[in-house]
Amino acid sequence: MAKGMTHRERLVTAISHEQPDIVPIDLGGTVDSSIVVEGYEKLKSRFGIEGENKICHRMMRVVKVDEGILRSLDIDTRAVFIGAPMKGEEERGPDRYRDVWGVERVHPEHSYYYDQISFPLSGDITISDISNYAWPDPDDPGFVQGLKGQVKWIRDHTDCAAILAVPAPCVHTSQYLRGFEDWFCDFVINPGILEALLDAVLEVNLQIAKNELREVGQEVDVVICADDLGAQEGLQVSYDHFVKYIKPRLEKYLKQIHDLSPAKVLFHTCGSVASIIEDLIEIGVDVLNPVQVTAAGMNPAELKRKYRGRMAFWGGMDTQNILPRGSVKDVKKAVEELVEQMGEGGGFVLSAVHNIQPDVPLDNILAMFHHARDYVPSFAK
Amino acid sequence: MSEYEGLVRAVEQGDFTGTQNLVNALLNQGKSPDEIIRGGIVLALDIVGKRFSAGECYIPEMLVAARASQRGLDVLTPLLVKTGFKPRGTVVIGTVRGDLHDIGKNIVSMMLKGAGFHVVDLGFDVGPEKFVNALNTENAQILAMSCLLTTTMISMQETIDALREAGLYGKVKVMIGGPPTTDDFAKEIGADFRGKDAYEGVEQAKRFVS
Repeated sequence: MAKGMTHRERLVTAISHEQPDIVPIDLGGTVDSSIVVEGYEKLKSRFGIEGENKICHRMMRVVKVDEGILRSLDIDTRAVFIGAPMKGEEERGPDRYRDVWGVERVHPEHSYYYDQISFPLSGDITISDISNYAWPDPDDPGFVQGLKGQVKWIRDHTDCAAILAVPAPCVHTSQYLRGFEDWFCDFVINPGILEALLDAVLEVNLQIAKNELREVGQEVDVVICADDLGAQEGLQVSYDHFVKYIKPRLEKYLKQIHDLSPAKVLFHTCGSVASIIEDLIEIGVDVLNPVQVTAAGMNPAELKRKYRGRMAFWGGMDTQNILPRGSVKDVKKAVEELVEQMGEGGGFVLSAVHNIQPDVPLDNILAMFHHARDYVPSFAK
Repeated sequence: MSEYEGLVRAVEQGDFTGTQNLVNALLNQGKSPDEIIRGGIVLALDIVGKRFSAGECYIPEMLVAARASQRGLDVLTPLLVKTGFKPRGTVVIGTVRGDLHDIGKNIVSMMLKGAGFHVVDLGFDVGPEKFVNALNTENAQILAMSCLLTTTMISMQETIDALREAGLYGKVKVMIGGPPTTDDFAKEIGADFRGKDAYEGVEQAKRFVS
């Protein structure tokens, strides 16, 4: 297959379900497909890059990948990150901070990530605790500051696709605020609290997203948002609970994106989510990330067969086994299988299932991206 | 129709108050704490665990049942201690070092208690030394380790290495669980068992001490 497309054309073609010249690849185009600091250090030294890291997601400790590395790897995507709010975030010590939602996190000694130490709305709360909570100001100018500049830079200096990140609609943040166990229990014993909290979070995020989309919605190629709904063996909550409590809110959020932008909507949701793909198509998801292939029901060939032309897929390179624990040969084989299973007729962007962790050998990272570029699939011969 | 049916249903449905009331009512009827645990709580958790394993219910339903069983055990455990009841066995459980994810571990912990085990829950971010100390102090038969992250799976290996050094390996049964774990991984690090979910873990713990 001759390389005849720009990076942007390649990506847009693929997610529009048309055959691109080669399968597009992503690294660092989103905060869920980047790399954790300690892994990035290895990558930097291989490419002879020096200088301080720019963190694009503090909790997950992932970086904005250096432009030189992205070019060397021939990556098709570039991220447009949401800005930091001017007010509401607070440093609480060297490895401790409070985010704009009032959630406090600390970086434990033996961990690669920040973990939560406060759940401000946990325990026995009432609806008025939710309505009286000190919610972030969605019109804080910090959120949209720099968006136009980032898009302009991508257009002026690259021919890559621009991926705009908007906040997680309502699941993640409500879990952080309520605490995971209480959040789950609310579905069964406190649905009123659950709905009030989901609505309060959704309202803030709808407004932040609206401001972002008004700023650059017409200029970007993809808009990404993330709310995890899957676990390893199935959904986190029952299908009925998803349909009743989450789907309508997600639909409202995605509709606003489509109303304010011609870009494709990329939805990141980890784990086994095969049972809700029809629903996600119905409410406006164009591209599904990350295709966690080790989770139940997330077989790439099966997904392609069922949803070809209707849902595009983004991800697929196994981060639970192959990347951290496989050999270079295993990684290349996984690339080939994915491209063969998902690449025909477009509808596929290859990336690691999630941020590349420090346990992934450098040679495996390079093999993944190099081989995705070199491998000529049978359908292209 | 069992006289424990109401209690089983209350636990299954996550009815905290109902569970405590029914436990008290059964005690007033002269049932022993042990009988109430076996006839009601064990049975309810068994039903919910099986449904979860079969994909018929999800984390919320598991959690509320586990929490309800806990409310029942809050009443029953002090009475059990008084009657000199012997637990089925002792399990030391925790999420391994570097990992702060404990929902799965908490569910297993509550279900083990419901199944009649004495459970020493060390919480999360638990290092090898702490596991070893607890196993020694508690004279436990089983070590149960959990993780969510691929990057903390290595802590399971380190803990098993520490068991070897402490002369506990082979004496204590080791079971692991968590999304990134596999049977192959369990074999590789020398664990005795890997549970796909809480139900499998509890069933295996029962077999270990039978």
